[in-house]
Amino acid sequence: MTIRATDLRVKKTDTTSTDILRGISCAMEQGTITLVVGKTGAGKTTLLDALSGLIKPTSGWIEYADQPLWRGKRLNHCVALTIGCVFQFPEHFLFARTVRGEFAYSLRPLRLPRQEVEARAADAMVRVHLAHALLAASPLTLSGGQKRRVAIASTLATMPMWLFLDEPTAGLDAEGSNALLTYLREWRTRGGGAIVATHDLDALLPICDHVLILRDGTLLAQATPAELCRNPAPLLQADIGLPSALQAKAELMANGWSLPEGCLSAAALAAALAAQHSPRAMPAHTPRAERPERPSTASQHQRPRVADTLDPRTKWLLATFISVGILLTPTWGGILYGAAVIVLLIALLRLSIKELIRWLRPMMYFIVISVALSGLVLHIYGGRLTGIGFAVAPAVGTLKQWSRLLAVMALGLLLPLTTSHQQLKQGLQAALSHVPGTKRTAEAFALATALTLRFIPVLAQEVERFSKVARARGKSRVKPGRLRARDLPTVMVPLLIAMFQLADHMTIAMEARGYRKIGQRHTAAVRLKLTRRDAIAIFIGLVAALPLYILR
Amino acid sequence: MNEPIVVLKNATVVFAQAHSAGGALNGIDLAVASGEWLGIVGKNGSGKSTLAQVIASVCPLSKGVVSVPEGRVQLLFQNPEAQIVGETVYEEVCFGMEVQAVDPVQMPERAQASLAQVGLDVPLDHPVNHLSGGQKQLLNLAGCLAVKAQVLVFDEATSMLDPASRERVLEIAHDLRQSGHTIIWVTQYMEELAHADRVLALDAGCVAFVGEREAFFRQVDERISVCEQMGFTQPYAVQVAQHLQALGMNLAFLPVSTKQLVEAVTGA
Repeated sequence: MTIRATDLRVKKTDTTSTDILRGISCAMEQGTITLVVGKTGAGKTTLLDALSGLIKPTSGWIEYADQPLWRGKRLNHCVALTIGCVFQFPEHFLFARTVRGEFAYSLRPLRLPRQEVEARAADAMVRVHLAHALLAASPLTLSGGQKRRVAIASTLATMPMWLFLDEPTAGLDAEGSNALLTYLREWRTRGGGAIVATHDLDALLPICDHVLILRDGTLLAQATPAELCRNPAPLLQADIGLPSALQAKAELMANGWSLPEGCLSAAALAAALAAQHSPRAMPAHTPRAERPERPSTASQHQRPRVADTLDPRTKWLLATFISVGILLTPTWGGILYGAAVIVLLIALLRLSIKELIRWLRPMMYFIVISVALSGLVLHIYGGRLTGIGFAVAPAVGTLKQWSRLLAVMALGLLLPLTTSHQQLKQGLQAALSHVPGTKRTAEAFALATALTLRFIPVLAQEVERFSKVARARGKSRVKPGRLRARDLPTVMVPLLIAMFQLADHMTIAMEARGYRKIGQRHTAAVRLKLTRRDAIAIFIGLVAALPLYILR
Repeated sequence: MNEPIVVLKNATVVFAQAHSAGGALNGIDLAVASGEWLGIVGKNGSGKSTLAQVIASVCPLSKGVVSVPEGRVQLLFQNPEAQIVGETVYEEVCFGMEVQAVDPVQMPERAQASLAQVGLDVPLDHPVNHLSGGQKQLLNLAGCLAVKAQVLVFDEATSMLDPASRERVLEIAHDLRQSGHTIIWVTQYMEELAHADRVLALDAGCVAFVGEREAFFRQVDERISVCEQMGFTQPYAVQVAQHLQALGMNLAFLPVSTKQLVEAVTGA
């Protein structure tokens, strides 16, 4: 059996239309181990996700032994059941009350009888060398290495034909890493196929059969380990560190030693070196040119937007003034005028309207439903429903109420979208510092706000990471990016644990920098100062908002 | 040997309950000289991270004393994401200076200087979210330098980075040591001990070994080395050197990284 991928392309989901992967064609055989290597950002994890059906490629074709992985928009369930995924740090994703519960969850899509589930769990525990008694233990009480073994065992128990592993040796100590390599070899002997994304060539190159080398989302080369040992050039081109043996050999040869072909064991290299050993002239040493670190593409300098140069307090004042105006205006004319002001602001601030709508979308759905419901008229005669009608007047009334709130919400969003959280924090602190007796509260509140805002994108990433795993383990047939209600615990429990851990680390980091207590003496790198620009902005804003208070 | 800058006496940390963040410490005595590079190794849960946090004064001792220069020890750990408070490069570099109440007039210059020192060449208003993991870790390091840290504690700071970024962080640390900083480097990767003057191996919260780097890796009289006794694999360069020695080719020093191997055999 073979996995065959033809001309895969994966685009980023957000607004930027860059390809994460393009033009990837490759084949993987059962009973072999394939490595996927590349620099960070080269697309290793995305390729694994695409091959295992966790994301749908934008274009291209994936077949498992002549069976397509995707049927139209739907994942081919029969194929999906033959796939087992072990994610990066799989121990982060355990959520059940007992280890047995983890197995039950992973095996649930297979709809096996209870005795079979128990038998498979017991068998998998043996395979990863864990005691049977641990099945009753809570995963959270296990050590890091044990947790990872449980996570791998719960995947093995589904008896997949294909195993996808992302950085399986990361964070493992030598003992754990050797144990993992042993399972992988056994897995291959029993005819399983494995696809492994990794940086750890020292550990995994010696046991693999085939290597896919990615660079910037394209397949730079495919080779066997023997071919790479003879000619490691593709690894260098892809800017991946060579395994120690090849690195040492390359550097020695560059220094004038002649060495036999292929990957040399430490003993073989020593023998070759000793044979040539004589007091020798030092060959001319030409150091490799240092390549400067390329700044990421987003660093092109843009002219600062007007919004970025304004004091946060100015923005607050204006947002409040306009919001109150919109809330007070009784007429449609006033509401439309308010909307026009907001649109103008968005244009002036050069904000993306798409971004704003993304945040407002749930509110918009809610309004549509509320308006429809409030206009609904049920004709009931003699206790029986005789007809359904729609009254326009109450619907319009509701629409008016909600439109005001939508406009105020949009205005409220403009502030965080145009202000860094550090600035928000300082603005908040500066504004509240005038209120006597609130200095410490203001600082605590401002710090909490700033950190919350800082972690919103991190939270979004974590939710995506955990829901991907829940989808993979639950073999759910829902569209990528969506989640079933019954998978919620699998996401929420690990997510909360991860968030607490992150908060814990953050506290240590801040403490290490010297942040000991709220209210300690500190200074500010950026002083907020109201400038003439702010005065002008306030004036224009007030004049623009005035009609809201006048139109009645 | 220089003056000791970090001194631990009978440092003991007991956790009330099993702690996910690391293992306990059991009466550690340690003195780190100013300008020294100390490598710390041990299995998962042996107390490496706890020791790092004790040195950085962010983990209270249950018993014993720790003496370090106040505010001059800075800590970097695994996840670069969990250490960044600011939203732009400038905000982040300044965070430490702000909490240490540095005069704002000095901040731009000190921020620029420390970014240059770690070789991070990005605009000051660059959003932190657009940096790669390796760049984020360098940014954290710049933040430490901006508050004039003398002791830098790296707690597996390279473990989430790709090999190229890892090499880069290691190089910068090496440069910093040359300029007089004291480096405490906690790691799982034996190759990363190449620059260490001394190695400390922890086992279940106790010091199992502390001594010169060579003594950690060298096999004496056919017996296995401390490194192997601790359950770690000897780096490739060390293995080659041992085979060479058996073949009668003695090297001037015991190489740990491939770069050192080339130096050692070329100089032999």
